[in-house]
Amino acid sequence: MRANHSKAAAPDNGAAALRQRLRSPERRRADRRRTAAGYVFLSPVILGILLFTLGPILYSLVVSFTDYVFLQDATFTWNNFANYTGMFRIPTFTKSIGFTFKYAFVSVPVSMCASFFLAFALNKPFVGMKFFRAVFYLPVIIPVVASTIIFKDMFAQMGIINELIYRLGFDQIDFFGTGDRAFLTLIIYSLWGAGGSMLLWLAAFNGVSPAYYESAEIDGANGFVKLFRITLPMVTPMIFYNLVTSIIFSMQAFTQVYMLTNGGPTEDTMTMVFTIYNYGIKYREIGQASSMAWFLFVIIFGMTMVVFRTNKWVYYEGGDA
Amino acid sequence: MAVQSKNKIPLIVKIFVLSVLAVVFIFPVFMIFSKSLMTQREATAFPPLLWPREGGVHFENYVTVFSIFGNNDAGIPYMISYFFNTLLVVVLSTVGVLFSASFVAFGFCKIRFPGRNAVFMIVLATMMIPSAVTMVPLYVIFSTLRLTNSTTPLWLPMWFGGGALNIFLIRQYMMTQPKEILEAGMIDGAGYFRQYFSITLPNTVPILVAVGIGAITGAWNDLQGPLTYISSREKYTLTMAVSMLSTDVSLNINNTPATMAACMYLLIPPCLLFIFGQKYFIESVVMSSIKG
Repeated sequence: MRANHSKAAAPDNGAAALRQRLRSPERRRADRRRTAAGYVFLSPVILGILLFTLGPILYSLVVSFTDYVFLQDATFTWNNFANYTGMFRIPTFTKSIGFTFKYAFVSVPVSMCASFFLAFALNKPFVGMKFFRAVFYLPVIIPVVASTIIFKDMFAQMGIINELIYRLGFDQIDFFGTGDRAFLTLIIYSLWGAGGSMLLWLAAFNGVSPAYYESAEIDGANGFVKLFRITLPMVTPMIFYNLVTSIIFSMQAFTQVYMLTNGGPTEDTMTMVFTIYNYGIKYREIGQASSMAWFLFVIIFGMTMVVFRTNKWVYYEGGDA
Repeated sequence: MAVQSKNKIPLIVKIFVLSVLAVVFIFPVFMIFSKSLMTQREATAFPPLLWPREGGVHFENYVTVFSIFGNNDAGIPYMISYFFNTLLVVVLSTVGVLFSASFVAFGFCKIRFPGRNAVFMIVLATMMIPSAVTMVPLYVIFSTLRLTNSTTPLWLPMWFGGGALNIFLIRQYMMTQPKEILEAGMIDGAGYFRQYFSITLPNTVPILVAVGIGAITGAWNDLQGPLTYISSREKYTLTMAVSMLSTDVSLNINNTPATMAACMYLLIPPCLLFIFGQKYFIESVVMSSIKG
C-alpha cells in the first residue's frame, strides 16, 4: 500500500534540481500548467472558505464590537467591548454557560462509561452479537427530532414512565418540572444514544493486537488483568481523543435541548448555542450574539488545543503523491 | 476453545441482561409506532396504553398526517411540499458534497504544485471553527442575498468543498491508489479533468458511498439549519414541520397519532439506509471519529 508513495522524497526542492528545471522552458511551462490545474481543482474549497468561513468570521468579529441590530439599524455603532463585558450581566447567558459545561462534562463521560460496558459485552462473537450491536446502535440512526418527541411524551407527567414508576410503588416525578430534573432527563436521553460511542470502543478494542493477549495468557493472566493491564492502557489515547472531541461537540448542543426542554423550565437548560440562536436569529441582536459566539469559540479552541497537545495526529502519514 | 464451555452460564446471564437492555433501547421506537396507530383518545389516555385498543390499529393516521398542515394556494397539502423540500435539500447537498469534495481531494493528492500543503492546512484548520460562530453571519449574508426563506442556504455551501472532514477522508482513500494508473492515463493524453472523472472517481466509489451516507443523513436530520434560515411555512423541511408539531403551541394541532406517523416517516428512510448500507454506515461513523 505504501510502495507507491516512495516518490514523496523526490528531490525537487534541491538547489541543483531547481536550477536544472529553470533552464528548460518546456519544463517551466509544464510546471505552470500543473500549478494552474491544481488551483482549479482547489478553487471550490478556497472559494468556500472565503465565502462561508473566513468572510463570516471576520464579519462576526467586526460586528461583535457594535450594537448592530440586523434589519433595524442602518449602520454599525461601535460600542467597543460593551458586548463582551455586557454578556456576563445577561442572566440567560451566564446561566447557559454553566449549563453547557454541566451538560457536556456529565453527559459525555456518563455515556462513554455506559457504552464501554456495552462494547465490552459485545466485543467477542456469540449468538446474537450482531443483533444486539444493531439494536444499541438504533437510537443513533433515529433523527433527533423524532426521538425527542417520543421522549417528551414518555417522560410527561402522565406518560408511560411515570405510570411505570407509580406501579412500582413510587411517587410520580415531573421530569421537566425543575432545572435539575430536566437536566436528568437530557442525560437519560443522551444515555439512550450510547450506541454511538459503543462503536468507538469496539473499534478501539479491535485495534489492540491479539499478540499482547496471547503472550499475557502464556504468563497466566486472567480476564481482569488483561482488561486493566492491556486493553484499557492500549485504547486510552483513542478514547481520550474521542472523549474530548465529543465534549467539544456537546458544548454546541442545540437540537436535543430545543426539542426536549426548549431551554426550560425558566431558562434552566438553555445551552450557549441556544442563547446565541435566540439573540442572533430571533432577536437579530447580532452584535451581542456574535460576542457570545466568540466567547464559545475561545472555550472550544482551548479544548481543541488539549487534543492537539495530547495526541499525535497522523495526517501526513503515507506521504503524498 | 476450552474457555467457551466454562463460560456457558455467564453467557446466558449476559444474553439475558443484554435482552432486557435491548427492550429498553427499542421501547421508544416501538412507542412511536404504536402511538401512530392509535386514535387521539387512546394516544393521550391515562393510564397510557401500550397498544391501540377498541378500534384496532389506525393506519389512516399515515394519510391524515398529510392534511394537518392544511393546503397551499394550489390546493396541495403543505406536508407534500415539506417532503419535496427535504428531498431537494438531501439530493442537492449530497451531490454537492460528493462532487466538490472528491474534486478538491483529487487536487490535494494527485497534482503536485506549490502552496498545496498550505491550503490543505487551512482546510483542516476550518474544522476547529464551531458552527455557532458562523451561524449568525451566514444568516446575515444569505438574508442580504435574499436567499433566506428558501432551501438554498441549506445545500449551496456543500458545493464548495463539502466539508473539511470529507475532503480529508476522500484524500486518504485516493492516496492508496497506485500512481501508475494515472501515469498510464497521462501517456494516453488524458488531461487532469479526464483523469479525475474517468480514472480516479470510479476507483473511489467505496469511500464516496460512506461519505454520501453521512451527507444524506446529515441533511435529512438537520433542524438547526432550517430553523435558522426558514420562516415561512411553505418552505419548511420535514424535520422542521415535525418539530413544529411538538413545540409550536400556536399551531394548535393536537393530533398525537398524526405527529407519531410523521415521526415514522422521518425515521424510516435513515433506518432503511442503515439496513442496506450497514457496512458503509458504520465505516463513516468510525472513520469520522478516529481520523488518520
